[in-house]
Amino acid sequence: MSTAADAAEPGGRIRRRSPITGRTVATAVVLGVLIYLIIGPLVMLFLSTFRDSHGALPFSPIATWTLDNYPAVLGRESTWRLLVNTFGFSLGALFLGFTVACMLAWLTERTNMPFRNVLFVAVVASLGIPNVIIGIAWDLVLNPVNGLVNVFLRQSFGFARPGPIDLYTLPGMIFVQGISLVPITYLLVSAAFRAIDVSMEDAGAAAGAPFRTVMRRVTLPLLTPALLSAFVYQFVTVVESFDIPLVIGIRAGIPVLSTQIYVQAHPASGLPEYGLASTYSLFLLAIALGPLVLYNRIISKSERYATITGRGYTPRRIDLGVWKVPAALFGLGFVILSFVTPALTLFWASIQPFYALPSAESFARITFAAYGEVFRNPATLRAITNTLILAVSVATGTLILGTLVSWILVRTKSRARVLLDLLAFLPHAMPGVIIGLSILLIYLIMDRALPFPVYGTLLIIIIAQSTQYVSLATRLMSAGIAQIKLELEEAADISGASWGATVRRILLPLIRPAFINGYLLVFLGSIKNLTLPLILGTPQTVVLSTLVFGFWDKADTASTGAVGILALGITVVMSIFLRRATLHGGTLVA
Amino acid sequence: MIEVRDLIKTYPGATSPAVAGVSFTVEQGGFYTLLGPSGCGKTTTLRCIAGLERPDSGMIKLGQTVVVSDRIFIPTYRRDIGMVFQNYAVWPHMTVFENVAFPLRVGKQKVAGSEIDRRVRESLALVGLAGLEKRMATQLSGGQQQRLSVARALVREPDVLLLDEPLSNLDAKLRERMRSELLLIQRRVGITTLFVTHDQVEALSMSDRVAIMDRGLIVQEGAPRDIYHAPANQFVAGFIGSTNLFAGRVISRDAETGQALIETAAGRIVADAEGHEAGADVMIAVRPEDVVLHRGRSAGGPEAANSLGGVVEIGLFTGVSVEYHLRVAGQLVQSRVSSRIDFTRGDDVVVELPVHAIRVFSMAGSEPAAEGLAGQDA
Repeated sequence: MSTAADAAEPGGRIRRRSPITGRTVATAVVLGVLIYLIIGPLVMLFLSTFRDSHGALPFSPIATWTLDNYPAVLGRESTWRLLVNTFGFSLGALFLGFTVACMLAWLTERTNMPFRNVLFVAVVASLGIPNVIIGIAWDLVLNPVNGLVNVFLRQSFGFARPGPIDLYTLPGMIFVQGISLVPITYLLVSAAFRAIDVSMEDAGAAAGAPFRTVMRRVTLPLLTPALLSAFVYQFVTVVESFDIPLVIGIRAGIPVLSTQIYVQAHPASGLPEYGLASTYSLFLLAIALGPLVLYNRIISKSERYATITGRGYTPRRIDLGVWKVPAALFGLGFVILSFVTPALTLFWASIQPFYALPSAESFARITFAAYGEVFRNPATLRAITNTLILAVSVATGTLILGTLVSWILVRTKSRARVLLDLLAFLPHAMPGVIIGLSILLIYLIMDRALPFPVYGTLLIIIIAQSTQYVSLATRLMSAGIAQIKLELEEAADISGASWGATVRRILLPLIRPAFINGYLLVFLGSIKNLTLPLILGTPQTVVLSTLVFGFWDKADTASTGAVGILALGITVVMSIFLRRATLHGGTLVA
Repeated sequence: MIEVRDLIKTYPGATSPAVAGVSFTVEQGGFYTLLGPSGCGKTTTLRCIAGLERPDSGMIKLGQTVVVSDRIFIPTYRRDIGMVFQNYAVWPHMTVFENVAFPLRVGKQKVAGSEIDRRVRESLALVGLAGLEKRMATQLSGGQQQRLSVARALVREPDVLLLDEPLSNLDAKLRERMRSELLLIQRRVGITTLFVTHDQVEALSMSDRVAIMDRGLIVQEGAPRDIYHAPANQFVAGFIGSTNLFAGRVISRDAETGQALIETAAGRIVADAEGHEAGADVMIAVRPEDVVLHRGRSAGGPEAANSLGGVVEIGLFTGVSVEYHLRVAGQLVQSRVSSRIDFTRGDDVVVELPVHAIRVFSMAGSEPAAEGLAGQDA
């Protein structure tokens, strides 16, 4: 680098006055990549809603333009059932998830509940369990035919087969999805509790209000913006959720929008209806986008609540007294439901040649043969390799892209900012199924035009997951960059460092913690993700999540258990590495 | 009236108590200040009185009601108090009116709507916020939020007003104005007030009585004037105002006058040293504004006791006064004199330490809490 020479030359001054060339190129490239990743799929999706593909691809020669898809979707009675299912399922799961999460957050933040630090770690650990595995594990526990609890109840109390508890119902779906919502909700709500200035509550007591009145009139209203934004955020998460509706809902005959889109594009029999699938997608997109716009409004409005903050007192913890034991049992109960049961069930399934209740005979049958078998299976090794390649590529790609976007958003006055902001926000409102479907359509069509194959390779999943996770990466990096005072970069500028040198020697070292953490989160998300590998994958591009799902779909419980335990081990260990600070700060969504 | 007896509070996990046996009484209508550096236990004491902390032991009486004793702990909301928090704790989700009305709405006795309206307006008028009732609390400036907080604390006419560093978040100009305004409101209402601060100017200018706290104990209590001019020990001398402190040893003492000759690094000094025997190690304190400077060299000789030869190191002109740093033998001495007195660096001066202005403390037991020559400045 010849920065000193640059600055000495007269030309150096001109470069300083318009240092834009480098940045303009970077901005243009970033903008191009985002448009390619995000607008491409959306345009494809939109156009496909006007195509009748006649069983082929929407843009194949036999496909024709049509307006019939909209009346077809809107006119069907099943569409309204679909909406009722989607909202019933979402609101039920949210109600359950928020009730449990709020109670846990209050207990760990504000009371002297015993083992509250252990509980925190357990909740973060269960954050790592992929939803597909939670769904499968609960199937193994509660399915009406050979679910462990049902078999136990039948043997003990003589209930008739099948039953007595049926997981394949709407309450069953809600229960499992509700539990899977708790960890993130808990982190958001406990961050909100921590953000409340305790002296606000003290002032209520000093004004003569008893505990309950303070809770009702001070604490709750202060929590409301944070709770509301967490609710909206999680609403979008559930509406878009695919794994549990797939594992439980399809068998239960309770389709929701996300699974309906999948089924239209991957029918068990007959030809795929891409036009209809796209039209359903547009519906789902609208349902997700509305709340997210609201969410952004709430976030920006919450600045209204900015007050002068003083030194923070550690809040006095409320003495639970005799309620300590029930509180601890509640916490323990959650850990059993969210973590212990899925993990133990998978493990038990993995060491049984055929799935049966623990008993003297089944203990005698314990064998680790499934592990040997699974690891001798070339598909497993391929899945592990593929999973790693996928996660590393997606995490690296999205974090670099996200860092660039964030830097432009936070640090420059570029006119492209509005567009970049919108582009980086959009994928968050794009459910995985929609990204999967539209990217599938793009590369099925472009396959012949491209010099190298994309469809059927890992590359298509990498592209799709990059679209999916670029929002998360950008949000995390924006928060990270915004925390770095501009003066630090200006000081480097004044010291004579070029833009490149400033970025390399000042910005990058300072954002490293945020980068590493974001990397871990995207990496984790990529491993946990089932939707995109399932929609876009082939046997050659199998990953851990699709492998587990495949074994489970073929009713191979021992292999399901063995691979499930492997995947769960990787993700749980990774989630424990997430920095506590990030988890506490609620930057997961902020 | 506030009465506190033998208050002790140790936080869980702490090695030493935050409050280690504090007793004091605030007279009816008095303005009493707990002053000390951060961590001295003043805020904990206040929070115990408010009921926001539960003391390990001790007795607290507010008016005629015992709120804390061995068997009694009355929770905060049942105590007849008003409190102003350091960050004002103004509720952002309520209007100005609702913030002030809150204590009337949640209290045990129901207050009629028209009565609430009247009292809230009265209270807001008292602090000069009349007309802002409909604003959201967060639309107010820092100073206005502070007044709002005072109005809220006073609206239910409590026995006792507790102020937890209420001025520390204001900028310097506003702080000065609020000092007199707050005192004026207190005088007008006549409410018994306990004020906690680390700012000695606030403490000295506003209080009827001041208690200096250090490490969980009250080290001196008295009227502001007495505390400033007759600090009880080296810590107080160093903490209140700036002080020249130097170590010395008593050479001889005249039993009749009580005056002693003390050997220091700066020379021999005569001072009132009641209670300090010959041979005792002592600490000498002189306020910079009491140090008199004369141009020229010291004449020397016994009659020139307390007139020491020094050299000007630097002068800091502040407008009101000049603060000269002088080297006297091996000792640095500060002197604050009228800004019309003009020396330049290197000038020879005679540094006079008037006998009546010198305080002598015994070395033993006086912790080195006040660091260096001069303690915190005003």
